[in-house]
Amino acid sequence: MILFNPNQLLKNINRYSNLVSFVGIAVLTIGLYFALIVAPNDYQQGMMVKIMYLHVPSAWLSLGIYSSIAAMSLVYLITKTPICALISKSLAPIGLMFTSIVLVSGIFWGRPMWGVWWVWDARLTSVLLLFFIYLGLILIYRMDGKRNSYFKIASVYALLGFINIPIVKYSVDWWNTLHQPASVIRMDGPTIHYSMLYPLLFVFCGFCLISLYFLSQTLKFEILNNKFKARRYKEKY
Amino acid sequence: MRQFTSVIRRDLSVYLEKKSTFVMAIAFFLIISALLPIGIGPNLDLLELISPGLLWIAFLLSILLNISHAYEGDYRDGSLDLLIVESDLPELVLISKIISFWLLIILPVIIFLPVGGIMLNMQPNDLINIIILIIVSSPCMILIASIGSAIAIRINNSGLLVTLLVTPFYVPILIIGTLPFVENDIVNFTFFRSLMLLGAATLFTLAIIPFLVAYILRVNSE
Repeated sequence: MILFNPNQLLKNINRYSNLVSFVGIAVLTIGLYFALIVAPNDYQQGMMVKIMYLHVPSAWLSLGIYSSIAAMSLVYLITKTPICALISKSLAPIGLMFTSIVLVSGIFWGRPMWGVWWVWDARLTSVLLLFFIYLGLILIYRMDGKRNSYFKIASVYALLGFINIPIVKYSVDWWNTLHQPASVIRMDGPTIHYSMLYPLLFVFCGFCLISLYFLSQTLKFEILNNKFKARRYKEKY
Repeated sequence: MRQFTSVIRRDLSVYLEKKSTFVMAIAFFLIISALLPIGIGPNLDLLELISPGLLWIAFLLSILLNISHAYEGDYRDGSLDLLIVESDLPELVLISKIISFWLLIILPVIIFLPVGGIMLNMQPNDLINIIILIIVSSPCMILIASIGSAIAIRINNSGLLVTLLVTPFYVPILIIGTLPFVENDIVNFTFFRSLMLLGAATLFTLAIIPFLVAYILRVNSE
């Protein structure tokens, strides 16, 4: 497949990554403008509802990135294509970043709204577990040893950790505790008003493009690093 | 079958050779259950309320910090490679290793569970229930810990890394195991329901995790 050819991928990254970052920043700026200035305040939450535009897109992305890591790990275990493992290796820190954004923004949203920084809630606990699974995955990727062996181990671990993703998604429906149930991604259409939905989607698209840019840069580094190691190995022997 | 029993016999003789391992396991468990009440303070009612969770966590820690005895020594002297990589049925070898680990490290801790429970001011009724739950779910907990131990086997002093890697997977067991003892809004979460779920978890992990651990160990010794 042309997508999985490292040289082709490098060429595409060099050609398009700057464009992606510019478009991403532009979309994010538009989204933040509409979110912070144009969109109305909530009648109950007031100004504090603005945290939603940071919290919700990062939550979607942290789940989405983990799902793509798991998918890439599955493809890697089946086809043994190293580029899949490299993609999941470079995705893991980005996912960790978004998960920490979700946790921290949730803490600062929860304090004025619920009156507590942290409670025993199924959604909060499962997102914290997602954070630790990301951390474990990164630690495995940073272990010393032969590349192929720890790629395989990390892929197995990523697939194991995928159990947590449905738990995060459905925790608000299964346990009816403090965190509110889903209001955008649901079967019968979003229940959020359009004046808030569109800025949310814009910010989400901006985050997606920017994480795509981060991914392309770390992936470029990983590919070049591997090429360098392979060349040095060839010179040595 | 002969391989199965011979591995168990070999492991038992290895454990019995250095008796300090299971004495350390018991001592660690007792020290944890003595330290937790000191951290909480002299409030017996509060202690009684939270003691099931504390006992579960003390037991969980004593599994996590001792699991390296099951694999690390054998990995160092190279016998794990022979047992896992060269064997026809590495999963069976793993199950026998887990049985011998349970017999000589976990069983002594389980015998000392009542002492820990008394230190934590637990009601006798609850204590018997929680010991049954811990006995039922301990194979499952050992299996989950052995995933982390297999991943981190090439690292010296891997205890902390193992703890970080596998703790997320313990949360369902901990929730199910403590729900019958705490006030909860899930109606009718009785002791038997918890027992059934933990038994199911043990059987499920027994069916899947030996294959995963064997795969990880084989990859690690490539």
